[in-house]
Amino acid sequence: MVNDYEMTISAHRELAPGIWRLELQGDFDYAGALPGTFVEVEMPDEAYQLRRPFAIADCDSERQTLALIYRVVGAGTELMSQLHEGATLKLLGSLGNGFPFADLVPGQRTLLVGGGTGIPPLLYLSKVLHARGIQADIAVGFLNQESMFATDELQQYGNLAITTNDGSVGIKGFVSAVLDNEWNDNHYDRIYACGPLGLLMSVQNRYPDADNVYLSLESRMACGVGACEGCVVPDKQGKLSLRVCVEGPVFNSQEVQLSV
Amino acid sequence: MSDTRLAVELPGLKLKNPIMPASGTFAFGDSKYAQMYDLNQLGALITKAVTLEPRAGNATPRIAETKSGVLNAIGLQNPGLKVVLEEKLPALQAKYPDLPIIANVAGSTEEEYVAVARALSESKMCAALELNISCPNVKHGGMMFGTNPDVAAELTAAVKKASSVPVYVKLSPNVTDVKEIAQAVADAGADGLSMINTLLGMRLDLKTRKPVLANQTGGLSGPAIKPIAVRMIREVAAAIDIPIIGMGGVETAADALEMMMAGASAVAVGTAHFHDPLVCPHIIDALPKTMDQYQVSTLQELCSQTGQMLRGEKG
Repeated sequence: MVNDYEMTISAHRELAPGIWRLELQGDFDYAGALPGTFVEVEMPDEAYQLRRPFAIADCDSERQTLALIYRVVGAGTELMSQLHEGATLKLLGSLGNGFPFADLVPGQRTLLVGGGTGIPPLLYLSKVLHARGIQADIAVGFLNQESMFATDELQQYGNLAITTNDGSVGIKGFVSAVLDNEWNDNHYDRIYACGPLGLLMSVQNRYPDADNVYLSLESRMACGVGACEGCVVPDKQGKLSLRVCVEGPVFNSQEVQLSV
Repeated sequence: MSDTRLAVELPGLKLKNPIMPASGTFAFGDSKYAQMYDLNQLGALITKAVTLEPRAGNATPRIAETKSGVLNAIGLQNPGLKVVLEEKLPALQAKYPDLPIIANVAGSTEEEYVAVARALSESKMCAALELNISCPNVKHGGMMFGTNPDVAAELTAAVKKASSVPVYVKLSPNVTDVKEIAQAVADAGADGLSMINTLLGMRLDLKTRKPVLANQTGGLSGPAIKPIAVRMIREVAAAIDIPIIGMGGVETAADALEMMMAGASAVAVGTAHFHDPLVCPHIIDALPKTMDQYQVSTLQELCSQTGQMLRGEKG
C-alpha cells in the first residue's frame, strides 16, 4: 500500500562518476513496487521542501530491499550521495502506474530503449521480463565509456546493444541508430522507452502508428500523489491533462504529446 | 482518537481540531494522500479552487524549489463546477460524512464567483466557502480582486448575498497594507478570513538566463513565508474582529500554536505535504503534548485569551 516508509541504507556506491546505486532495507510497499513505478525520497535536510522522484531500479521482497540508481544533479542529490550505510531515508511509494507487462507470454519479444538515468527502471523491467521468459532486445545509450553503468546486469537479461555519443564503447551515436540499422527488421510485441526527451521523441517518431509503445516520462514534481497538478504533460490534443505522477509516468505513445 | 482540548469553533465550522489541508495541496481529498490515513482525523478540508468551467492551468514547468520554500504557478487547474458538484463533493461526502468541507471558490469575473459560490453553497455539501481573491498565478481574476479594497469589498458582498454558508475571504500578502483589505471585506460581510495566500516570487535559471517557471512568476509558500504570515495574522487579528484561518509555512504542532497565538482560530497546512505526506495527522497527534509544553489547556481557550489580549492592545 502507498505509504511513507522509513528505510535504512544497506548499500550505497558510485557506479560511474555522479551515478549512484542506493540500496535500502526495510518495510515497504513491495507488492506495488513494479517496474516503472517510482518513489519520492525526502532529502536529508529540512530546508528542502520537495521530495525527489526516483524510479525503482530493483526490488527484492524476500530480502526486503529496494534499489534506486540516481544521478547527482543538484544540491539535494549531492547531499543524498554523502549518506552512508545505516543512515535512514523516508520514501513515499510505490507511486505511478509502471510498465504494462503482465499480459505478455513466454516467447514474446520486447524492445527496451534507454538513455542515461532513464535506464534504471528498464533494468528492473528487463530482470522481470527475463524471469517470465520474455525476450528482450535492449538498446542503451551513454555519453561515453566513463558514464556507463548497469551494462553487465542488462547483458544477463537480454540481447544488449550499447551506444555512446563519442563512440568510446559500442556503436557511435544515439540509440536510434541501433533501431534503424541492426534491429531494423525485428518485430516487437511491445516497446518500452525511458530517457531524455530526444530519445523518447525518436522512439515515438519511429513507430508513429503503433499502439504497443510505452514511454516513461519525467517532470518537475511536487506531491507525487495526484494532489497538486504540478507535473502535468500534454495529451494528444495538447491539453495538460496527464499527471506524470498518477496517470504516468508510463504513457502509451499514442496518448501523450512530447514537447520541448 | 478525538481530544476535546483540540476542538475549535468558527462560523459554520465546529471542528474537532484546528488542522486542515490548504487549498491546492490536497485536490478534492481524492489523491493518494487519502490512501495513507483516514481523512476523518482532519479538522476540516479545503478543496482545490473551483471555477465555473474546467481550467487547464498554466504551461509547465509549474513548480520550482527555493530555500525553505516552493514556487508554484499551477494556474487554478480544476475540473470545473459541474464535475465538482456531481463527482468530487459527493465522493467526499459519501466517504467522510462528518468531515467539514470548505470549498475554495475562484473566478475571472464577479458573475463567475457568484455563480460558483451560489451553486456550491446550495449543494449542502460544504460547510463554508473560501473566497479566493488572492491567487497570484492567473491573468484574470485571482489576486486582481484581492489587492484593491473596493473591488474586494464589492465581490465579498456579492458572494455573501449568493451564499447560504459562511464565507471566508482568502487574502493576498502582496499588498502594502493587509489590514485595509481585511477591513473592507469584513465590512462587506465576510464571516472570516483565510490568510495568507502565496507571495509573488521568481527564480531564474542561470544557464538559460530565463525564468524557471513557464509563467515567469509564481507563488512562494513554505517555511520561508511563515514569519510573514504570523506578522500579517497578528496585524489583522488586532484590528478586525472576525475569525482567521491561518496558513503559511506551517509544518509542526508548534507552528500551528504560533499561528493561533498570532490570532488564528484554525490552521491550514499546505506545502509541508510535499515533504511529509502525513503532516496533518502528525501535527494533530503532536498538538496535546506541545500544548502541555506551553501551558495551553484548550485551543478554544487559547483563541479567546488571544482575542482578549489583542482587543486590549487595540483599545
